[in-house]
Amino acid sequence: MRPALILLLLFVSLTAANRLHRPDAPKGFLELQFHHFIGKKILHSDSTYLNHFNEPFTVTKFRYYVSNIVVSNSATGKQYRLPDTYFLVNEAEPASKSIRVVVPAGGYDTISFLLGVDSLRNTSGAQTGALDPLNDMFWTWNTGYVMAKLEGSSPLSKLPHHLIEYHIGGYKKPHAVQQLIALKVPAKAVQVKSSGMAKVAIHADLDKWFYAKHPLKIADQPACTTPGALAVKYAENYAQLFFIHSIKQP
Amino acid sequence: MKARAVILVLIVAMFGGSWLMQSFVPDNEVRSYAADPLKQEIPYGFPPPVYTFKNNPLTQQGFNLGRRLFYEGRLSKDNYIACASCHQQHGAFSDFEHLLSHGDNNQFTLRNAPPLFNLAWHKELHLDGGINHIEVQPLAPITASNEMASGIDSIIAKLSADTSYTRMFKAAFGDATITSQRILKALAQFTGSLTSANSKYDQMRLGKVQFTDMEYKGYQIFRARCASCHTEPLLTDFSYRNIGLTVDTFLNDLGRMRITGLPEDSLKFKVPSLRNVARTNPYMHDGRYWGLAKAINHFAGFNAADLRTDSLIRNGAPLEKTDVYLVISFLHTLTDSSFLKDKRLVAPEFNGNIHQ
Repeated sequence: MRPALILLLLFVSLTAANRLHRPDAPKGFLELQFHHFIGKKILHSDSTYLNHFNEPFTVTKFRYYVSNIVVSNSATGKQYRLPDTYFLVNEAEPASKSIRVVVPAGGYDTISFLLGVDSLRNTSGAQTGALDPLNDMFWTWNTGYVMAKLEGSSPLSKLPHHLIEYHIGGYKKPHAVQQLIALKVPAKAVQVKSSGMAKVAIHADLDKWFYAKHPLKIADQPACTTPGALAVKYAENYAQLFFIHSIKQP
Repeated sequence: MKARAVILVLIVAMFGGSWLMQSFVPDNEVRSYAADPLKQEIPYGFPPPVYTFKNNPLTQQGFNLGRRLFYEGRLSKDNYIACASCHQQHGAFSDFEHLLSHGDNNQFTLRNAPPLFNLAWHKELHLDGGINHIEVQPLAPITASNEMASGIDSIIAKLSADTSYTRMFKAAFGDATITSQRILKALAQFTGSLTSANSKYDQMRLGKVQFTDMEYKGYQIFRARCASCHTEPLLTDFSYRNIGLTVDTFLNDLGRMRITGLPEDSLKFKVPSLRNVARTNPYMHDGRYWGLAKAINHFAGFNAADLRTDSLIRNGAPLEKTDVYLVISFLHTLTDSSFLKDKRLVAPEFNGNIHQ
């Protein structure tokens, strides 16, 4: 074995040992709770709502990926990026709407995440966990994840069963739909402590799905199920769905 | 010296291990620590492969499981249609003598089943390039209602109930859990290992054999007239091209445009490799031409009026009739009979026995 290689190994082992022995910064739990609304009304799968254009509709399925979570403090510049974590928020599964993460203790005034799955994971072959194709958020004929899915019905839809079906996906430019969303914590920063759990309530107003940036009436567009310019419009709308409603300190 | 190195490695393992675990997120599947590693075969003169089994270490047990799954009818709704139903070894894993293949409930597929070999060199799969990774490709035929009409959840249920399968998953991945990821990775171990590079053409390149006069003349014409798309040594450049085939109004298959949505990609299909081409009759994406002569005559008597047709074809002079037959004699040198008869690739229930 060459001396250079030995030196390299020694360096790596010392660096590793050093890291191991460095006293760990205290960490704490942070819970992101997602709540879904239409306007001011809580979303229920058996209710009919009116959107911005006064179009009646129901929502039977609402799911989206949350990934690449970053918590940061704009005052101190401190930032923590969660390593490689993917969550599927599913309206039908209450547990999926609370995302618990461990971050270094401290105050954070901004929480960012990618709504969707980054291009790298879209091109890395068979995945598991939240990214398992079993979750029905994966296109088999044109590889890629459905980043957000909204299904339901509306009398204004001319599709079979008056369905409305929005499967928004596509990771490739110019039709990439993954959206980086940065949410400001209102008033005071959320304090993550080594004991207890800080909770952040994130509200999503689904009405904005149809109008936040681009007006997209159900009557005109009852479905969008392929990557393309229309999917990008929905994505630019859903980028504005979320805001932090409140925080709860332990 | 050697002992010191070993000690150092151990130190790295001891102290670095926990730290490394935190920095790199493993690919979740537990590996069997007793599986026998296999080496990926990279034939002489081939470029580096796209798929290198980096996150799917190739082992004998993984390959064996992948092979069994490839021949497994229970991957389909009716428990009879396997991958191998439309990808038969004697047809270089194409659907021998079928224009289109037969799927669930006597339905037809959209396209002519492509042969399967050297897939580790493909950046994208399918004739429209819609699949970006070899591991996720099987999901397309498995879930297509006119192909295997199944779903991963029902496959997991069927295989989990069969102890001969849970044993194989344990041997390949370290425990008996069956997941979509493991099914797909095992299949990729088999399909990614289908390497065909031992035809007469390959042996000629290695200087082991010589072409006949006709084969050689055909090769020269091929190099001058065909090789800019059917690039050596893989005999495809993996591009998508419109070769001027009129659209079938029943199938209405627009090819690459279905994936990109770009009008300029209308009627473009992936340039197929010509390896084993004598075994993949009929030809073109919808199998419209029977026989090599018919297929090559498409280029020989070409009507260049349609401006969407690839410029290499529009601007090329038509092939002479004699040239067509010389090219055919060259194309026959691309048949890799050792691949077509490779016992390692045969359905496991035949125990390596092959009849042809």
